Amino acid sequence: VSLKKPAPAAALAPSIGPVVDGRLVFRRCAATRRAQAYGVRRCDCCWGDAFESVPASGEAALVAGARYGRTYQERWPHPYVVVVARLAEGPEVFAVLADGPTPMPPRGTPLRIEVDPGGILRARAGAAPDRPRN
Amino acid sequence: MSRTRGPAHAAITGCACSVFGRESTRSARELAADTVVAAVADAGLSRTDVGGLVLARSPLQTAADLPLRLQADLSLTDLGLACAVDASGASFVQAVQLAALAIGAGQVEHVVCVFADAPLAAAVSAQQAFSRAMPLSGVPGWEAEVGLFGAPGAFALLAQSWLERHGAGAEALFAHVEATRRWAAGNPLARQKASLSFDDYLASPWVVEPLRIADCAFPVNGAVAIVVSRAGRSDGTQPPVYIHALAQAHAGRTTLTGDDAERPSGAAVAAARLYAAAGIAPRDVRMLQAYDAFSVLGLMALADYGLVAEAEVAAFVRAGHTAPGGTLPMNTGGGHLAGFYLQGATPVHEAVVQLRGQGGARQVDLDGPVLVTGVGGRYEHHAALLLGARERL
Repeated sequence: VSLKKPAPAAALAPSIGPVVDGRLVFRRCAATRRAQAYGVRRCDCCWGDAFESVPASGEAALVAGARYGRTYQERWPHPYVVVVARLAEGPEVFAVLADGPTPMPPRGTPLRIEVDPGGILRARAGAAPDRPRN
Repeated sequence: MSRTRGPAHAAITGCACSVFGRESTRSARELAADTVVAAVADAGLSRTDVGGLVLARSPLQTAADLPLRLQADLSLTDLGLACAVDASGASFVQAVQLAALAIGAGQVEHVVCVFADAPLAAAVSAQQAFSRAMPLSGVPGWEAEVGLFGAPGAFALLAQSWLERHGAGAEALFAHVEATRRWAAGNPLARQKASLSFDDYLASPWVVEPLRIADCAFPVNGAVAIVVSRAGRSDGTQPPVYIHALAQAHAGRTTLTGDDAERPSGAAVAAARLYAAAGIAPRDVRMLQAYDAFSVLGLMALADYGLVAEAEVAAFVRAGHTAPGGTLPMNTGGGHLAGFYLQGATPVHEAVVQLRGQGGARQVDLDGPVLVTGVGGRYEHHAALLLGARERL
């Protein structure tokens, strides 16, 4: 178990985080165009360090969720649900399940990932929005 | 089992632990110093015999809490090895490995490995001590920003995914918890000895669903020290515990769900390396001392180390195979859940107790191989040992 002291908020680390200018982004390697996991500093293919932040669709699928049954910090009173969701573009995000606590949705449930005004990622369960037709 | 491997070149010759408690009476540094002295005495050695010192640091501590200055505290001079390992729950197993490797390289003859932690106090509960957000994403502060506090939150995600993938429910987690309670009843050092019915378990409050308090480790303040020596170099009265194989694996990513995208796990890779190094198969393992800070980790260890087919793990544990009298004794001191949580030191300590034949009411009749595992971070760092009471497997 690793329990390091928390560092500044994700919004303060735009070069590696999921939020840039209040928008959800994913990161990809400028050379290989491969989507990269948040937080990595080198491409998992070419090992290059040039990344670009690309707006993400917000479409995602639930990977796993955990419902808090006790309060760890006052600004997060229980119960609430934290989820891991896989964006349609590939990378995984941590988010708070909005409108929770509801019954835990099953794995694979379509989610919509949004950035709230405070820069926090929130996941809404429900059908994914219609994709634009070609 | 292959008998072609040579004799072990290193052995655990000394072992000691401090008094465990939840009161803050001594610092980690003080606990470590006293426990090192006790372990060296247990090995029948003296201060001047010690050639190496390896610290396994708790991630709850800063380097200043358990510094290499401990060498000077103990008046240890002219060491051939002095370092600290920083792999969270895998650190203590790695420390023992490092000691064995240094001995094998001819660097030193006797090395002391020590873990000490003192996160609890009258004003600091276990929840408070372990409430920090785990750095899972690599993005500073992200976890805290979404309320993902404490190790239980991070491992609840893994547990939820594991249960869903196996179509299992609370009874699967309970089976492991209940087995560890039964073992703990025979361990004077264990902290959770009361038997636990399924109804009792269901009444245990949620920490982070699907983990209840009963699914979580029982943290204590305390220390464990181990002396590793070149095989045959101990004149102590304690029977040596031989180190037959060691392995590590580090996947380079956190394990959030254990699903296909995250396979093979670091534990499975470490297992393959360990068995290959020892020349044995998983079926040859006679006992498992696993890192089980959360109940789901005990279940995962059985599968990832190849001891039970993954789909059969829940049924295997429910059938009592890991409990007293079972075919694969596991975490015989109660492990982290019912014994005591001193991170990676807990399983190593219990393996030594068992292979020395000092387990008292919980003693299992065996001479090895005993598999010992350590898990660091969010299932990122894995280290394992194969130990035995005989010089050859």
